[in-house]
Amino acid sequence: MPEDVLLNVKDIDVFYGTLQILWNVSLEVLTGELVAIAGANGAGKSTLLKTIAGMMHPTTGNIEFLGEDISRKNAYNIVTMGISLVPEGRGLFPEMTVSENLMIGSYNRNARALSKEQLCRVYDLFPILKERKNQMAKTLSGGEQQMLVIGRGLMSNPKLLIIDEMSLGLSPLIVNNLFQVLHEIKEAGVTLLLVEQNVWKTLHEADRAYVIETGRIVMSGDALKLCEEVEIRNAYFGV
Amino acid sequence: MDSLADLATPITMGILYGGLYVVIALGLSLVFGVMKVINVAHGDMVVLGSYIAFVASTSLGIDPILWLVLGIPLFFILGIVIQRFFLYRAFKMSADAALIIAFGLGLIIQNAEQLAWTPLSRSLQTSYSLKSFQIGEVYIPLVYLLDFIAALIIILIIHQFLKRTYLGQAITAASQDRQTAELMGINPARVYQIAFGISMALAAVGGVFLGLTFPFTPTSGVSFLIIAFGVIILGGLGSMTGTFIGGLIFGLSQSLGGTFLGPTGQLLVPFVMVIVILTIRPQGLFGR
Amino acid sequence: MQRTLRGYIPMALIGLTVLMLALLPTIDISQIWLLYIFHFFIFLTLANGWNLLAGFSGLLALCPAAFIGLAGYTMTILTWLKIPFYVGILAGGIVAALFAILISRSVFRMRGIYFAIGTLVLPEILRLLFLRWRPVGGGQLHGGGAGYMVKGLTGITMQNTYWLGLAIGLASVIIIAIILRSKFGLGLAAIRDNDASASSSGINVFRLKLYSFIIAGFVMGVAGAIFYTYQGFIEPTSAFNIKWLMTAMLATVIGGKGLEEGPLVGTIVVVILHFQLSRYANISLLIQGIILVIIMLAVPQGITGLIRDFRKEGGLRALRRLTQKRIKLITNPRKD
Repeated sequence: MPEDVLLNVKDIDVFYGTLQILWNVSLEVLTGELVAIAGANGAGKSTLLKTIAGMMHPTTGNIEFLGEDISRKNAYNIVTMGISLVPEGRGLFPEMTVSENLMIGSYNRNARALSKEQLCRVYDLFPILKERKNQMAKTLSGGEQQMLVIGRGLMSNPKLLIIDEMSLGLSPLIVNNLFQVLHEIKEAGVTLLLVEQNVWKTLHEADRAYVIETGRIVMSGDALKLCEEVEIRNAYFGV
Repeated sequence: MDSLADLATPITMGILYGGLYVVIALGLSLVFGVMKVINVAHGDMVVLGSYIAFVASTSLGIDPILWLVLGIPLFFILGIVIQRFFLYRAFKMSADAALIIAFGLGLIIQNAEQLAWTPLSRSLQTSYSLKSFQIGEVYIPLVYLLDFIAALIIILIIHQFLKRTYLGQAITAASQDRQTAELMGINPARVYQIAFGISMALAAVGGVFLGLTFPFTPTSGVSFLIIAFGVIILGGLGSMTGTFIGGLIFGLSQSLGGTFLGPTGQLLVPFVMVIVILTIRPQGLFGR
Repeated sequence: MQRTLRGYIPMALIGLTVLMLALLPTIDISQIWLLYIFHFFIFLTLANGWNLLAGFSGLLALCPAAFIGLAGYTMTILTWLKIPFYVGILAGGIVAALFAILISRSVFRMRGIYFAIGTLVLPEILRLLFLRWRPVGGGQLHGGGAGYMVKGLTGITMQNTYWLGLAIGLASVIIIAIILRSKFGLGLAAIRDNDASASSSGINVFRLKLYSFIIAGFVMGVAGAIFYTYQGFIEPTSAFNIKWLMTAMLATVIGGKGLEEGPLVGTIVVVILHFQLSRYANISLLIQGIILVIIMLAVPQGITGLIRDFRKEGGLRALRRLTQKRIKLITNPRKD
């Protein structure tokens, strides 16, 4: 595994209005890894992702991507640099077709030239999307919509793909299939950062993991080892 | 009005000049779609388009339709300036602030027009202004047909732009989900500017055909704003077909209102329709 | 003890001011001053009504002209039916309030921008209706519109009109003060913060907004009717004119939208503008529009909001913050 740091979150505090959501959060993602962030609902996972993607900004601390400070940048600039966030709740464009949804994923200027090849790649990963390319996005099933947003995330040709709550509301079978695809994506050289409530499944798939609880990182390390620790069960189930 | 045949003329005329409302409504709807703010000055901007064409035609002798070659880019740039320096700043505060600013801009435009061209009613006179053509028993003024053709062309161009270009797709995406659009690398401020620029360019087109079709005064704007808004809620936001049909229906209602109720009925009927549609289904009849 | 005494001082000052304003016509004061102050009262009432809607209830209503025009017409037509104008003024307010109830069913289903446009159409519809409709015979004024003289005004002096204006102006201030200090006001504050959560916490959003709408309709209506007893005639295009909205909006925004004392301060500015600009009637709207836009962009919290900020932070710091904001906007308009 190459040891260079792709994403480095250093001691960030994040507020929503006057309410502090994240406290002194730090994490690292190395190139080529699959890192998971686990935690219960409301622990601050989504806020952390939004902050990385530039939709929110930390009040203290900073975030470096490939050595450059991105904590003050806007979301639309961060995509161009190579971070792609697949939003929670399948934020797709319902009145646009599947292929239009995918193509808008390559809107940023670094991805546009490669859009044709990327589209082929996405269709290879998710053949069903090719079959439905002229359908409106809103007509897809839940699993297909998740494939679409992941595919759209890939269209921006990211170095780091962040997926928020991928397995939410999907059957275990579909979740398994999606994880298989994620491994293919990883093999192709894309670093992955997953945020999940579905802790066990995620930890079995990930290289490393962080556990977040009420806005603080409470545990981190090798995913399988974390898995064995009983505490995580407590952390997750909140015993 | 004793027979249906007598109604053939107002019906045809209304449907044809309804094209004018399609053009005006499309400009309003583009901005509404992405910003969720109604530019209450849109009607005044359309009338400004009429006055500028009026100047081009009376002082420079340029045909109003030909004038659009210059007028469209001019209004596009004007739109970007207004968006960047006025509306967007207010928009960041609140939607109410943006609406109040737009209201203020509308009054400024009205008063400026009144200063420059007096409150008297004007119209665009051309060699073809008084020409008409005949379908069966019905005589139709040529300019009404031009309204309809203009609407067709504009709908086609805007549709292709929104479907086929990255910028157009960005506008479409931003009007469906602004936050997600930003995650795609779309800069919302830029999308607003482009959408507003196009909206103003459409106001220039709408202004020319308005001036060819009806007489106008500095205060005409608000009527056209209301009708254009009616067209949007009738046709549904973001639906080209809906906007097209909505525009024709409003043209028709205006024409029939005038036929049955006299001159004041011309606008009364469409206005009442707006209220009724808003009451029945605030999100529009064909809308999502 | 000392504190309570202190608490009475502002009350006493207010009372004294009102008394002086009331006695003003009895001393030998120039009629033009009475006219200025009369306009102040009318505009203040409009601004208070609009502030109740847009500032406190989250209702960006663009229809003040509907209330004013309807009440004015009611009063005028009633004078034609030999009903005294002071009864007509009250009736005008009631008709405006009834109109508010009548249209609330439709317009309250509309949210945000739909509400704004829905209310923008109303004065236009009324204008067209009154251009067609002649409720009582005769009385046609110049211009071909359905204009009417107000009858039975003989013997009514500027002083009487002035007192009427004072009464409604004062009433509007008191009404707003009472509303804001009652449970009703608390409910409105909750709505303004968050419509959805207010309704889920058991506040009947619809009813509170309706009450605001009715009260504002009534108050604006009475002010409108009083204005037309002063004017002496009414016709549709000026009665249902967008200028009424401009006046109410400008006074509220200049003073500070959503602040209780905002309209008081804003109306003073608007009245000065009104009479200063009457000399340049042709550019009056232009200048008002420019002021509206500038205030909204530069000082969105209005004059009173600015003063509050100064008090809270201490003058120098507030000034520094304001100028810094300006400089940032000027040097870096693209970002932020």
